[in-house]
Amino acid sequence: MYRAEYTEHEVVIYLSGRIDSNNAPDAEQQIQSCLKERKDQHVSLDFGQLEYISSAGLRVILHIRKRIPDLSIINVSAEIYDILDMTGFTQMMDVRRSYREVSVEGAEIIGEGANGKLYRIDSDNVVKVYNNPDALEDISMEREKARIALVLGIPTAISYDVVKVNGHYGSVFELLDASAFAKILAEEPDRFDWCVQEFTDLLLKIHSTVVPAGKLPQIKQTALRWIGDLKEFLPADAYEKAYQLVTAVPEDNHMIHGDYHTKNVVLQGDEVLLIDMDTLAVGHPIFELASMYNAFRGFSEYDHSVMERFHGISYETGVKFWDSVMKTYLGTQDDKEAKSVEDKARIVGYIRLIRRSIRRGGLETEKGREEINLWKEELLSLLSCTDTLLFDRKQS
Amino acid sequence: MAFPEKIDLHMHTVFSDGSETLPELLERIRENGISLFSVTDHDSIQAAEEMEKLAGQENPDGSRCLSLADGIQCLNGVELSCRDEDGKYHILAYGYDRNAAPIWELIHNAHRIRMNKVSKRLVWLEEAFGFLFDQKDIEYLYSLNNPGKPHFGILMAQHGYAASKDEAMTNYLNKKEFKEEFIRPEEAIEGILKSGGIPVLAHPFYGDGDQLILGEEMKYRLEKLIDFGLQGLEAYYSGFTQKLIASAEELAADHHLLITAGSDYHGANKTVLLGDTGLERVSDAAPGLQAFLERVL
Repeated sequence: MYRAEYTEHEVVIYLSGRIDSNNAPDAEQQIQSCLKERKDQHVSLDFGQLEYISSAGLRVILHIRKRIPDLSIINVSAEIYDILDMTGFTQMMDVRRSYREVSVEGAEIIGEGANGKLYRIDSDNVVKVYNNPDALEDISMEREKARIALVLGIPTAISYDVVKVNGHYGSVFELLDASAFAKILAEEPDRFDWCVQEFTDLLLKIHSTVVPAGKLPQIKQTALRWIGDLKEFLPADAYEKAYQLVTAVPEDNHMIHGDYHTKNVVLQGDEVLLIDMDTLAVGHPIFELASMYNAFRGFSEYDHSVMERFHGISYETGVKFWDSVMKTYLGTQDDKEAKSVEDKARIVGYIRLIRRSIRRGGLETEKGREEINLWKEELLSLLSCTDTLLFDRKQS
Repeated sequence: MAFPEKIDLHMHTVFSDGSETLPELLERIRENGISLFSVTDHDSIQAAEEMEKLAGQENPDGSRCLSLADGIQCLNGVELSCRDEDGKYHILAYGYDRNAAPIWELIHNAHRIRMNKVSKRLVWLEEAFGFLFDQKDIEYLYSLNNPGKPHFGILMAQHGYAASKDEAMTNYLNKKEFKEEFIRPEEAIEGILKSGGIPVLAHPFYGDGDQLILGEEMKYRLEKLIDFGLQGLEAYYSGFTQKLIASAEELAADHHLLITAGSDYHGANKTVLLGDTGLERVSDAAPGLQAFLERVL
């Protein structure tokens, strides 16, 4: 007899074993009798323990579905999902796969971004574990973004499977023997110049990639929302100035990564790959430089140990790397020139840092308040002496 | 030509594994507003004979499509179980001449094969497990039109050889198949054609009802049957999703086949609803169905 669980809004019926022509009528009767106690709750058939379903079983599902049009099927194994997909069940009803459980205990963390951590699970594969416990939508969005990037010629890895890791979702990528640039910088200091060049080349490649309209979000719109969130926090004139500066940046159809730092650029063999694609967008490169400033300096400006903890390199190395990348990117060796672009980037960068910290309860701790005040003072002083966020880059 | 709007060309009675007698089924057909139907018992055309008596005098002897007093039409039908090296098939026959020798030959042959299976299965159950049955049980099995494993399963449960019919099926009856004798699809199709009937492949993607045959395999099987003379596909079927119906319509169009619509109603023995064929109105159907109706009406 199938087990069923009843809650206020849901009836879950746990199917098990095999359903074929020998027991299909019986299976249907069992399901029907589980439904006798149902009032108007939603119904899910849990396929977690179902080993096999023949077409006689599919017909049973179809009959139940005719009586209960919003029927769901959950916890479906990959094999049965294929059958349901080929026969058109996935198109006509809610069918959800079950996800393989993967352990990351003792696994090396090889990357870390705003939304999750990247673990190596064996010599060929890595899993990105999402912080958000309900990340399925994020996963499919990131996958789509990675696909767009790959089609446009940006080397990246596309996830091929979704798994469960300690109650969180993870997406699995093939990434053979890859090292993040953060690790190379930490372990092979003599490759510093090489890292700068490769890191900058990929950045230039991203920023020269034109994305067809509508494929990726405009980062400018996102940046305007960040500023909007600080309306109460900033003095009115500073808020107005920040809003005008961002508004004046033209929309742009070139790609930006949105979280470009040394843990999201990895070396696989002799290929440099971009990973963590969930922030991929289009827009003016000033927004990219802003998030890069934060990654290399902003986050660790108040507490330098943040750099060491996050990137595994010293604050000084991070600052030096950022400075070299900036100059290579801008095609200049002139400190003043680089500094003037950096200051523009810092405006957007601080807005983002302050907003982020406030949203995470930064105003409630002393350390948080001090940090936010440091960023705020810098921001106000920069706003008073900046007229545009636009800049020129010398073509190399 | 005006076509009937609601049709169901695939259903079973007590002459095979359905639960209802023909008069009971007719009652349901009227309640459901079905204006053209066909009784397609497994390997039995007894319903077609019985129908002739129920239909009364107006229909000439040997009519392939009978008109009842209230305007409902009944097409002669049967569902033949076939097998070859590539697997199992259910082949429907429609509009045959009830008096034609070849269709009777097929029915007798199918019945003989089933009876032989009953004998062999009885011997096997006794020799392998020591299960013995009463004379009246054995007579009952032989009296059935379509004795199969489920009937053995019920008897085994009654005798305490197994806890339930399902257990008898799983632990004993499904362990051994008696496959030496079977009707090949080409034999069935030839017999149907020689009796003036239209051979149609039942629930095409489901084989004999328990398989899933898609893509190239389906195409291969279908083209082989067309070489034998198959003329139609049951594209509208209660167990098909819209996607499968669309694939079947496409297969029929690609191979210039007729199309039929059937529920596979078995009365209380299965929960299929009479008239549920996946097709709402005949006027919505692919051209192959109208071509079929033009042939038989």
